[in-house]
Amino acid sequence: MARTASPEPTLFNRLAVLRAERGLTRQALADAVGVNYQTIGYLERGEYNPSLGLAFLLAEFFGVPIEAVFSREPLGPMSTELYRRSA
Amino acid sequence: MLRMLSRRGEPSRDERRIIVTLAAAGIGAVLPVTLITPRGAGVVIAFLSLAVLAVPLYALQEFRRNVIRRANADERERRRRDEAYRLSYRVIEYGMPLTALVLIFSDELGRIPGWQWSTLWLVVFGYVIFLPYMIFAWREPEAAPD
Repeated sequence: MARTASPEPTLFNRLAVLRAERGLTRQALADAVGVNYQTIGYLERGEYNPSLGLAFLLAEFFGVPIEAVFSREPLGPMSTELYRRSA
Repeated sequence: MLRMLSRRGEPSRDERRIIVTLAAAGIGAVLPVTLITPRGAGVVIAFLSLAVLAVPLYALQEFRRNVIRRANADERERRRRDEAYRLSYRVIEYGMPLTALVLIFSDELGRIPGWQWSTLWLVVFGYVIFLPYMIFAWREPEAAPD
């Protein structure tokens, strides 16, 4: 049987928005979750998919469910989702 | 060069690629340079080659120490490092036997004087040791702005 390459699935995230909301620098967020500040940049730009552990750590840091931070589908604005749920 | 001494001041991708190119070309150039050099001048040429090579190799070594082999590298950096090791092994796995076959069939090995075999080994070891770091430094994306 031929082996086929399995590219990593695209993962979308709201890290940049969440970080900006809290007025954090990449360095501050990186220090909080124990990674290099550049890794935060790569995560925000979608150039790196985090491990499950790091994804949970980031969600816990922002105090939101993991699905509010990471998704397999493109994420819309948080305000839209918030009003949709409250309506 | 000194910017590599700190993690935040690491070189840009272009600078890294220039360093890698210089180091790779420098190591590779040692062999032909010593082969065309008369035996008496071999030591002088070897020292000159090392002096020229010292700059890119030092830069690569600093990049290795500060970025690639940092004790507290995070998961992304460890993954990139593992990829570089894996790719390097592939290059060596196929590249070295292929090069050896080419040299054997072109009868070039027989033309290498006995005293210059040590140079050949030096070049091989240079590539084997530095290849993973060259690959890492070449492939690592541009640093994200803070």
